Amino acid sequence: MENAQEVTGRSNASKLKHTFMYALIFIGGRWLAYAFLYIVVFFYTLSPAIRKKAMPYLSHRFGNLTAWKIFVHTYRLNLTFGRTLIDRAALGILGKTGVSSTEEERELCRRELARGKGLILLSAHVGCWQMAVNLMEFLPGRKHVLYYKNPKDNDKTVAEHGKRKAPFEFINPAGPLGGIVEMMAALQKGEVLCAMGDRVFGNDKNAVTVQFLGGSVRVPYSFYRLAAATGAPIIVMFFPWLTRGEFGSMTMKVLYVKEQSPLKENYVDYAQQFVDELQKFCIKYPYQFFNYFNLWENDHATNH
Amino acid sequence: MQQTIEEIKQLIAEGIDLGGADLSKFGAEDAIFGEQGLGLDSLDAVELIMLLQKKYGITVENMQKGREIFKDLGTLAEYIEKNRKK
Repeated sequence: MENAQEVTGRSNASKLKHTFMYALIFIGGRWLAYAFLYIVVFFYTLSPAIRKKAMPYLSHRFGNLTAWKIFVHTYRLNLTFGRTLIDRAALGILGKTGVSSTEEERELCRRELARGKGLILLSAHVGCWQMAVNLMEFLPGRKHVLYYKNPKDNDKTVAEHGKRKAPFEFINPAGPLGGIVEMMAALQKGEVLCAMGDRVFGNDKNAVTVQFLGGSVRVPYSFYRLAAATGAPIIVMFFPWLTRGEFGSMTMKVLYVKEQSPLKENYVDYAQQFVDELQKFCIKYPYQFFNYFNLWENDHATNH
Repeated sequence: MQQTIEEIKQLIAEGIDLGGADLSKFGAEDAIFGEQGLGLDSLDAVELIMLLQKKYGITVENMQKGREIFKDLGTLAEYIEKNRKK
C-alpha cells in the first residue's frame, strides 16, 4: 500500500462549462442554473465512467443494485453535488446564501476556542463544506483551511468570484511537510483550523484503517496527533445541503484527544469515532457524500 | 555547532520512532526530512517541533522560514543556537 488515494482536486467539467454556469447564475440567479442542472446531470449520468466513479460509495451505502437503481442513485448523488456547487458559486457571485445553524452550535465553537488551545473543525467531503468555511465570521481570530487547490482546476473558490473575501487563509497540504508546521503554529496561537478527515493526501504511512459502511477504509490520523500535541479540541461537524440556497450544520461530536505517544495505534479509536459520525451523516443524507473514488480499495488493510 | 547537532540527534533518537536507524553516521549537511537524509516525514515534524519547544523553547511559525531551518541538521543547529530560550 505505497500510494495514498488518488485525489486530483480537479473538477471534471471544462472551463467553458464552468463559465457557462457562472454566467447563468449571474444573469438569472441560482434558479436558472438549477433548471439547467437537471438536464446537465441527466446526460452526465448517462456516461458509464461517471456511474463507475460513484459505484464504490453507492454499493457500500445501498448494497447490491440493479442497473436502473445505479442510474437513479448516481443521478441523485450528482444532482445534489451540482446543487452544492451552484450554491457555492452563487455565494461567491451574488454574495448570499442561507445558513441554518443554531446558536448552541456557534456557542459550542466559541466556547471550545476560548480554551486557548486552538480549535480543529473536522469535517468531510460531504454536503456544503466548501460554503461553510466561508461563513465562519462568528468565530473570533484567524481561521485556516487545509485545502489543496489544483492550479489546473476550472472550478473557482468562493473568494475567486470576487464578491466575498475569504475569511480564512489556506494551508497547502501539498506544501513542505504537508502544511504541518503551519497547522501547529496556528493551533498554538489559539486559532481555528478547518480540515477534512476523510481523505488521505500524500503519504499513506500517515493513515489508519477504520470501518466505514461495512468495509475498511484508510483515513488520516494527523489531526488527532496534532490535537494530542497541542491540546486543541476537535469538533466533528458536517454541513448538509437542505434546500435550494440553504444549508445547515450538524455538530456530531467533540473529541478531546489525550496527550500520548505518537504511535498511530493510539489514534485509531479517534479516527473511528470520526468515521462513525460520518456514517451517521451518510445514512441521514445518502446523496451528499462526494468522494468519487474507491475509498475501499484496500479493504483488507489493517493497522499493523 | 557539533555539540548541538549531537543533541538534536539524541532528541530524535529518543523521541521519534525511526525503526532503530543508526543516527551516528549523519552530520551537518544531512537532510532531516525525506528519504535522502534521516527520513523523517510530516508527522514526525510534529514530534520534532514539540521536542524542540520543550528542550530549547523555540518555535517555528511558518514553513517559508521552516524550510530553511529544517533543511538539514546544520541549519537546525544554527537556528537553535541563535534562538534558544532555554
